[in-house]
Parts: sequence; C-alpha cells; structure tokens
Amino acid sequence: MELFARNFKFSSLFLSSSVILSVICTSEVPRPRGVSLSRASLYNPERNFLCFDNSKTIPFVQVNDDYCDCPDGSDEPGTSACPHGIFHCTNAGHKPMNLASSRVNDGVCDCCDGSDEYARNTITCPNICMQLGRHAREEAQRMAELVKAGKHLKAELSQRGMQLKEEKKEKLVVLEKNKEEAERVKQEKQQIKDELEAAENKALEIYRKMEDEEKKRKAEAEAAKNREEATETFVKFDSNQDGFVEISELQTRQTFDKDKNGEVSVEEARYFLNNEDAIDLEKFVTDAWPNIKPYLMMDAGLFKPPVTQEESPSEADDLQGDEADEEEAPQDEEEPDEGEDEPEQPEEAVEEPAPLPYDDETQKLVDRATFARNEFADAERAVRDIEAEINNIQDYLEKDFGPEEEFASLQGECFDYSDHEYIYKLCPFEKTTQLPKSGSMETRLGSWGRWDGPEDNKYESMLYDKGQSCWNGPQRSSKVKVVCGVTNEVTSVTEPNRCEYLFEFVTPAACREIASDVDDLHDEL
Amino acid sequence: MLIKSLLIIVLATLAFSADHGTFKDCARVDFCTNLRTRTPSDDYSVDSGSVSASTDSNTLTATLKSNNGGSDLTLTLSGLQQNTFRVKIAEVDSTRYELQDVLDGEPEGLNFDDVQIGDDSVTVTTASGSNSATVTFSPFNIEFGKDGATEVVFNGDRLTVANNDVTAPFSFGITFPEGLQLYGIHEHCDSLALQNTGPGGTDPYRFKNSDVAFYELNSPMALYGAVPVLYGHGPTATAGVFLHNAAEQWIETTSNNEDGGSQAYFMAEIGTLDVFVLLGPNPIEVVRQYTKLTGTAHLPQLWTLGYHQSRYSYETQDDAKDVVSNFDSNNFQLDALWLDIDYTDAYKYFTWNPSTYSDPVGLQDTLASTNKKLVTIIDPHIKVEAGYSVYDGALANDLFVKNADGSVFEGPCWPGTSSYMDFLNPAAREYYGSMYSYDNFPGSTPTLAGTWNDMNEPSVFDNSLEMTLPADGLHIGNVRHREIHNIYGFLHTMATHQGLLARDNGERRPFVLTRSHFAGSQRYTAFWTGDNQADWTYLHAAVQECLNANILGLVFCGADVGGFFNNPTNELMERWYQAGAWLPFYRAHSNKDTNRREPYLLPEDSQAIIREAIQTRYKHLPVWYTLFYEHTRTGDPIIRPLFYQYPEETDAYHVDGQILVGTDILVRAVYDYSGATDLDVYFPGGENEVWISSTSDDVRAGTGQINVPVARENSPTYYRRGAVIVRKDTVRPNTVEMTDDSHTLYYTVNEDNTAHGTVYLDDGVSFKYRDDSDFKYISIDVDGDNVSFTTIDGNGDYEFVVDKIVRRDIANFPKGGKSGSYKETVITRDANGDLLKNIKIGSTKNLIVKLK
Repeated sequence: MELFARNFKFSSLFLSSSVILSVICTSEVPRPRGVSLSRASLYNPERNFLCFDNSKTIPFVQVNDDYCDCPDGSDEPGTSACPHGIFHCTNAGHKPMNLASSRVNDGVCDCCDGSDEYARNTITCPNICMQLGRHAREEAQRMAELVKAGKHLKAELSQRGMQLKEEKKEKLVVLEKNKEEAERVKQEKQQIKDELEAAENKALEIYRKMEDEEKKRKAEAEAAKNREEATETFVKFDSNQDGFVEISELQTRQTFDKDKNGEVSVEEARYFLNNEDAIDLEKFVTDAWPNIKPYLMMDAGLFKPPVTQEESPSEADDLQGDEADEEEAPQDEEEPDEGEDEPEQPEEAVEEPAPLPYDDETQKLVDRATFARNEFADAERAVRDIEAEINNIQDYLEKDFGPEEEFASLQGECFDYSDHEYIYKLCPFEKTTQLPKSGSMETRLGSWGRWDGPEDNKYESMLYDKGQSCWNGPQRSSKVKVVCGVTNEVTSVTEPNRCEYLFEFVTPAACREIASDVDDLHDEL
Repeated sequence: MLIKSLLIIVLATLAFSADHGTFKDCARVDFCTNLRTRTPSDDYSVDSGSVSASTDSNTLTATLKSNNGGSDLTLTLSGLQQNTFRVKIAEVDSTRYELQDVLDGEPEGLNFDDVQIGDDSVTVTTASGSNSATVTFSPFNIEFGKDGATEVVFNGDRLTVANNDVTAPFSFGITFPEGLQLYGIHEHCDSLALQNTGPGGTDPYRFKNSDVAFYELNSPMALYGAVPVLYGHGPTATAGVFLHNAAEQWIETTSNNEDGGSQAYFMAEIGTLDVFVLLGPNPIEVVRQYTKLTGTAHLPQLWTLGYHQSRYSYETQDDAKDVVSNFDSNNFQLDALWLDIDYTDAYKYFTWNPSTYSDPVGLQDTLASTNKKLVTIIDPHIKVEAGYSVYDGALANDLFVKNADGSVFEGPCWPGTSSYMDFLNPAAREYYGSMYSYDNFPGSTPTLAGTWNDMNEPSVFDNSLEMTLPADGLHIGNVRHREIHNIYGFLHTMATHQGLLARDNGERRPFVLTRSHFAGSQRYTAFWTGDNQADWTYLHAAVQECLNANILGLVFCGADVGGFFNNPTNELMERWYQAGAWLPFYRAHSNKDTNRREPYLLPEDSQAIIREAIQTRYKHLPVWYTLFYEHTRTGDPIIRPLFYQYPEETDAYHVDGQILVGTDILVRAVYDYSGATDLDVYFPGGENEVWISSTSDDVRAGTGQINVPVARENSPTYYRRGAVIVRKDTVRPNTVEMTDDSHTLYYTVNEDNTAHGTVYLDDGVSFKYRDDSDFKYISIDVDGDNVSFTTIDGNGDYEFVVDKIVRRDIANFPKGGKSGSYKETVITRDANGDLLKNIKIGSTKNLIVKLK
C-alpha cells in the first residue's frame, strides 16, 4: 500500500514538471543570449548595465558585443569574449545547463538545444533536447523501478537485520544474567578452594621443610663432587706441578682444538684459561672449569654442543652458554660413576626430586584441594566463555549496518569477482582479498575499516584498509562503492592507484530514494 | 641483521641511480681506455707530392704517411656552402661503413676560390677568401679560419686510425682557439655548458644509445640519443664540428683552457672519420650551418602543440574515456590522450588488447567528438610468435636483425622473446611503415593521429649486452650493428614517418614522438627526455636538455611533466606544468607504480594553478606555431639559451634554467626548491634591452642577474621591449576549437616608437604550405600610432583577425637594480572608430591600421 502511494507521487512529479517546462517554451522571456531566466531581470535594455561584481557600468549596447568589459564576464553571457564567462542554455525539454563561455562558438555542440553554436556557418547544431529529455526520463524511470524493486528487498533485509539485532540484544540480556550467575558460582568455588588449600598448605609444610633439606644436601654434595673432579683435572693438567695450569699445558691436549685445525693455538688455550696465561687451582675451579668441562665431555662422546653459527656470533655464543649452564647444573644429582676420566652422562631435562610420599591424612587433604582447584578452574572458564560471547555481540551491536540495519545480513557472507587474472573476494564488514588464478596465495587487500561515503550518504562507500603491504610500497587498501541493485554482487574490481583497489558492489541494501533531477527542477520552479 | 640492512641500503640506492654494472665507463671499454691514455704524438705527415687541389673543384686530396710503419691514409678536404668544410680520413683502401641516411641530401659543394700549395703546407679558401683551410704537412694538422682568425684546429697529434678484425677505432682532436666554452653533444643529462672531463676526473661524454633506467644528473653517461655535434663558443666567435658517424663514441672535453679556448678529443669505435667543420662565426650562423646539413623539422600539425596526457598505462578503454571526460568537465585543455604498451594484445604492436581495448574505434570516436586525438605506442621489437602477422611477414621477408652467425636474433623485451626489425634495410622500413595503414592496423582511424616510438635504442632486456643488440649483430649487407648502433632509433622513426605519410596519402604531417634519436632526427620526429624522475632537479634537467637539443636541430623537445618515476608533490606539479608550458612539447606522463596524477585529481588550489599554466600555453599558440614555421625556413631553434641570442655576455654562458622562446619571451623556470618566493633571474641584452613582465607590472633592464619576487601562480615570464607578441586569449578546450578565434597583440614600443613581430597562418594539418605556398606569413610593424601588416611570404587565403591591441608603455624606467613599471592601454577600435576585428588583414599585401 505504501509502495503504491510512493509510486503515484513519483509519476505525478513527472507530470507537473513537464507541464511547467512547456510553459517556459511557450512564454519565452526576452533576455540577452546566454542568460538564464532567473537572471533575466539583471539585463534591462532600458538601463546601463552594471557588472555583477559592481566594478563597472557600461552602456547596454556593450552587452554581448563580443568584447569583455566586466572582469567577472557578466557583460558577455552569450559570447566567448570573457575568459571566465558563463553561457546558459535553456535546453527546453531537457535539463538547463551552464557552460564555460570558451565553449561558445568553438565548433562543438555542447547545449542540446544547439544555442551555443550560432556564429559559424560550418556547423549547425540540431536541437536534440526532446530526445535526450525522453531518454533521461526513461533512464530515471528505469532507475526508479530498480529502486522500487531494490527497496522491497531492502525492506526484507532491514527486517532481517533488525530482527538479528533484536535477537542479539535479547541474547545479550540472557548472557549478562548468565554471567552474573557464573560469577557467583566462581566466587563460591574460590572460597571452597581457598579454605581447602589452607588446610593442605598447613599439612604440607612439614614435608616441604624435609624436601628443602634434601635439596640442599644434594646441592652441597654436587658442588663437592664438581670441585673434586675439577681438582683432579687440575692436577692432571698441571704437568710441571707448579700449582698453575698454563697455556703450554693445555696446548698438548687435542681436546682444546676448538676449530679442529689440528693444533691448539694460544688463543684457544687462553679461552679455556678464562683469558689468562696461567691460573691457580682456585681460579681453575671457579672460572675455567665451566669452560673446560663440556669439552672433556664432548671428547668422551658424552655431550654434543649445538652447531656453531659463525654468521651471528653473538646469538650463537648466547645459545652455547645457556646450554652449557643447563648441562652443568643437574649433573651431580646422578649417582657418582666409577671411571675417573668419564664424566657422568648429563640428563636432557632437569628432573625435580620425587616428592616424599605423604601419609594418608595429608594425601586426603591434597586430593580434596585438588578437586576444589579443578572445580574453580571450570567455573572460571565458564565466566570467560560468557564474556567472550558478550564481547562478540557487543562488537556486532557497535558495527554500523546502516540506519535500518539493512546491511546486517551481509556480515558473514563473501562475494567473488573474477577478471582474467585474479579472483577477488569481498566479505562485508570483514575483509577484501585477491587470489591469483594461477596461484594459491591469497593477498589481503584490506580489513573492515569504516563507511567513508560523502557526508550526505556515508553508506555509498566502504573502506577496507591495513591490508598486506606492497613490495616497496604502501599497505594495500580497498574502497567498495555500494550501489543499488536487486542482487548482492560484486560487479567490478579495479586498481586505480597502485595498491588501492576499487570494488563496485551491488546490493538492495543500498537502494534509497534518489534525490532526482525531477525533484530539483521542481524545487527550482 | 647487518647483512639484511645492508641489502636494503643497496636496493634503495639501486632504485634511484643508473646501473653502472650494466652501462660501462671508459675504463671498461678497451678502445676508450687505450685511446684516452695515449700520449699525443705526431704519427702522420702529409706526403707533399700527393697533394691535389684546384680552383675548379671543391676537393683537396692528399696522402697521410704513417711515421711509424702504419698504413697510409687518404685525406679528403671539401669546401661546402654555408661556411662549412668537410674532412674525411681513412685508409687508402678503406672498407669502412659510410652513413647513408643521416644527411638531408648530399651537401652542396663550394669550389675553392684560391689554392696555395707550398713546401710545408697547402691553403684553400672559399667564399671570396673569407673561409680558409690550411693543411700543415709535418707535423700534420689543419687550421680552419674565418675572416683571418683561426677558429677550428684539427689536431694531428691526436689522430689515430687502427683496424683489427672486430673494431676499427680512430681518434682525433679539435681545438677552438676562440671558443671559451663548449656546448652540444646531446644527449646527456647534464648542464648546458659542458663539463671538463679528463683522466682522474669526469669520464668522457659517451655516445652509445641506451635505455638507462634512473639516469643520473650531471653525468656524461650515454642516454637514449646521440647528436655528435660540438660547438666552441666565445665572445668573438662560434664554430662547430659534426662527426658524421653512428658508432660508439667517447669525447673528452676541456673548456676555457689556458689559452682562453677549448678543446675536445673524439674517440670512436669504428666507422668513418667524417667531420664537418662549421665556421659560424656566431651561434645563429653555426646552428644554421648544422641544420643545413641534417635538415629542419617540417611544421607539426597544430594540435601537437597543445597539451598531451599520458600514463603508463591507461589500462582500459573505460579508464581512457573517463580521463578524457574529466578533462572536459574540469575545464582542462587537452589535445591528445596517449596509450602506453598495455593497450596492445600481449605487446604485439598494431593490435589491441581484446579484453581491455575491445572497442578501439568507439574510443577514437569519443575522442573525435570533442576534437581530441589518440596517440599509441609502437615499438621496434616484434614478438616472436608464429601466427602474428607482423612477425610472420618480417621473418618470411628476411627483415630482422641477425646474429653474427646469420641466424635471426632473438632477445627479451616487453613481449618476451622478440626479434628486431632491421631498419637499415629500406624494405624493412617499407614493410614496417605499411603496418600503420588503416587496413594493416585494424581498429585505427584518423583520430589515431600520431605514433609514439619507444624502446628504440633499441632496448633488449639483457644486461650482458648493455641492454641492446649485440655489437656483432648483422644488418643488411652484413653491416655490423656496432657500425650503425646510434642510428637505429633514427631509422625506426624514418620508417614510422614514411608509414604515416603513406597512410594519410601525404595529406597530413606525420606526428611521431621518439625516445632514441640521432643527428637529423628532427626531419621525422619529436622527442622527449625519457624516464626522468619526480624531483626538482629533473625539472631543471628538462630545461637544460631541451635547450641543448634546440641548438642541435632537435627542436620539438619535451620532458614528462611531473617526472616519470616516483610521486611529485603538488607544488612540484604546479611548477612543472608552468615550466612545461614553455617547452616545445607539452606532455604529462608517469610510471605504473606512481599515484594517479591527472590534474583534476589534485587539490582545488593546485588545479587552478595548473589550469592557468596550461591556458598560458594555449594563449601563446600563435607564438609557437610561428616559431616552428620560422625554424623550417632557417633551422633556428624554437627555444634558446641566453648565450645563443646574447653571445657576448660571458656571464650568461652558464645560465641554463631560463628559456628564451624565440627572441621575445624570457621565462625563468622555477626548479630551485620548494617554497621559492624570490629567485635570481638573468636579464640579458644591456641597459637598452627592457623586459616587461607578462604576469605582473614588473619591468627590468637587461643588465644581468637580479633577484625578483616569484608568485605561486606563475613562473617569471617577460616580453622583450620592441617585440609584438601575438596571442589568442580566448582559450577553448583544445587547439582545433581555437582555429577561427581572433588574436590579441601585446607590445611595448622601443625608444624610437617601433615594435616588430611576425605571425604565420595555414591550415594546421597538411603539407600545402610546403607544396603550394598555401600559407600566410605576416610581418607586424608598429610605428607610433600606425600598425602595418605586411605579407612576407605565402599565397594562402588566410585572414589574420585582431580584436584587441594591448599596449604597455613604460611609465618608470628600471634603474639601479630597481624594478620599473608600465601603463597598459587596451585598444579595440581604429582611429575611425571601426572595430579592429572587422578589418581584413591579409586581403592585401600591405595594410596600415591607424590607431589615432
């Protein structure tokens, strides 16, 4: 019913405007050539002519005399004499037009009524305004029909969009409630957990102390063993038995041929002596031993250092150092071995000492606390899940799907367009992409940014920005021109600027009343 | 990490400078290295018994004996018209290649009017003794004199002539004793005044036509074209030499040497030592002497002087149409839209891309409906693809360049594997030219009114070949490519010119734009400065290069407005449009990966400034067209450096950012830096030469350099006092639509109350001006209140309509570095009160209009 009424109004507009147009045709107001009806009164043949910018007054005979008197060009509305002049064509039957005066008598028919070409006899411009007018009206009609059909679909889309929004809002209310409940449960579970953990802690205190003592004892034993081993090695290396290990003493041992060139250089030896020429036992144990030990182990086939990367020395050094540290620390936790030259096999991973077995009472407390912890973790997860869902819905509700939610149902869908080289994809409110037909690597041309149409209709254009960077260039971005149509379809994709794409997307959601020329004309009249 | 960032630095540097790995310097070229380091020594002397010369001929011959056991040479010295001599030196039994196509016909001889053979020298003279050539026997050299003064010396101690299986290098020296400063030897991206080169310093200037991406400023590197003409210019005399040879050359130059003269050392790889000696004795005469040898440009069609819009590429016909309609709707003038390689089907020239240019005729019709033209690119490489008719035909008729072993050369270019037309072969030129016919190029119409010949150095995408054909490649008659390399582009445009002429039954003047060129290319083509960059420095380079080209006959010169590579700022765009309006060829062009920059896309304020710049161009169309006509008569440049017009002003020798358009308009291009509010401008001509600003009320005397204010709206532009400037002040959307418009005269009278100008009128399209005298060439002479219009030449029925005279009388004379001022009077009626525009000028041979 409503649609019918609109349609009726539309055609009555046509009727009224054509009536008025014919009035213009039949009652031509006398005025100089190139002057619009609205300005006719400013050109009075009875009086001198005052330039529009008030700069000069000239006899009326100088209007349209093909000589430019007024700086603003107002004295030559019908000739090309003034550089910035304006020629008005009435174009009865079609749209009136203002033309730059340089196009008057230039040999090209610009006005559909042919009025801009009157001085040359080499060219005659036929009046084709009726034809063009008819064509324009037909085109307007076609557009109107398209809009009509589109608006029908759009109404459905909006309905669906609003419904979706309502659903989301309702869901949100439910979720908020669920969240409250879940948080309450979480708090409850936390309390239980805290209580049980306190009991557990108390019971475990005694065991912890025992464990700490055990750990300390082991560490001391380990240090002692390490020292013993180092001392043994020191004695072995100190071949001249002067209480110092020197460079020459290391040079006899192939173990220290780091670069494997067959001889142990002074530099290599110095490396193992912590950059000194000779060191005593104390220094050997604390400074040199950590460097030496891995090589001895390696020699014994027990330990493989990571492959050295010459190109990035600093990184490689760090890596090596780290691993060496790791390897050393746990070594003495193992039972001592028999052979003096063979250091023990280091473990791949550090293992905590096995906990001491608890008594039954303690074990019960631990089990109960563990159960409470699990319950609490579940409750916590439930809250997080609900929050995530709420965030999703809030994101959705914050997105601008148009004044009537008409674009909402496009979210979650994708539309393809192929040219001879690529398949483009538009996933509204998400992203735009490009996939070469001959390849499989998809390139992101942009992620949903915002509506960026002109002020009077920002829903004419979408911006998807922050896409993948071009080689040696900016980040890709795309604009999507959104136009009215009866289907949802990408109709073209171009790259007007490097790395800036332009999609044209047809959708009923974009159908809206056109501020038509007919309306304009009506207003003007 | 370090390695990575190093790599990035290397890449970034590569992106903005030429590839010196590919393009060699002298040290990497054997013959250049050898000759450059040779110590001058007198290796030859004239066998006095062999000298033969007489007054009933124009030719002297003599044998040059080698002093160190080399082979004997024959010296041929000829007298020519126009104060010119020609020197050829070659082995007695020379088989060296001699160029066939470069000269505009066989030069006219001029018999000796005196021959004096002595014991140790011989002197011949021409032109009643005013030109002389003295050959000294031992040590050998030749001195050329004009009116008693020695102007050019051919140095025997620099003469070498060698021959081996592969190359046959030669060298010689030239001294200009009166030439303080050297100019010429285009094409290099360099200052107008040539640099001093020398071992340990700058490399010699090189000629080996090359497709150099990111070519560098102030560099002697070879570029796309070669004009081996060198001028030695000083306040007392100007002379020149032209080495008529198309092989690779290197030229060492020294200006302002200890004797106040200058000298050059020519080194060539192969071919004939054939030198024209031009005795001037001033810049105007020496340029005329040179263009007498290689010819002048014919008149261009009028529309080619308008504004051209190009881009690499307008990818679709819709894009192209959109650009055209935006020019119209935004009130920007446009005469032609240009299509780069992507309009073709897979870079097969003379075809259209079936998906993006499916309706080429529709596109041309759209352009034609608003009087605009289309220009498309056609390159010399031909895609190797059986079934592509251009390829099949050329292969079947044996019209491609060959490898040394006789097989057809194939190399990579835009289409992938390509073969190259052998344009040295007249049959290949004929064949290729015929492809331009409407039948052979389906989808072409007369609206496709011009052709763009690119990549014709020729460019081959192979760094190991210095990006061109192999030097041992073969042309017709087993001519080796190295013997003719530098005329490949010249021959390409010759084929195109001939093809377009045939296509239009000789009724329209062909329009060709080329990248590669040689001495004499002006007869066939306009050229542009290739792939420049969006930088202020390249705006200056555009002016330098076009000024240089203009004194070497190549008058129809332009550069990509805005710069081809990279993105210009809006300010640079404004300044480039302003400067470009004052270069003969006016086209904007840009690379694929730059942002779109058609003027209507810029901010409104920039648009207004660019619109003004383009309109300034169109207002001065009568000036441009008249200058082009005058060039056809004389060979005079269209735009001129200051030294050309004011040869005695040594302070102006290095001024190369200012353009004299003809003799009467002085333009200072604004290329210096961003945000300029004042700039140094050199005003030439002395105290009595007065320059009147065409854009403000500034008036200056020609007393040299002075700082003047600069507005954003225009580059400083001045009219010379005493000149009549003919303009068309109603600017239409294109040149065609301005055809019937009337003219406005601007002048300021000299102290004796006179002013003078000329104007040329014809149909703007055909050769009737040349064949039927269908034109009118009018002298305009102001004397007090009388303006007389006298037909100088031409029988055409063309009316010269003047609707307005703008007289600018000096109110305050400029003094002591201070600006003067003028008062403007606009006259639209004669003394009888009749409107000027109703007076029929041209209907009688002489008409005097009284203004008071």
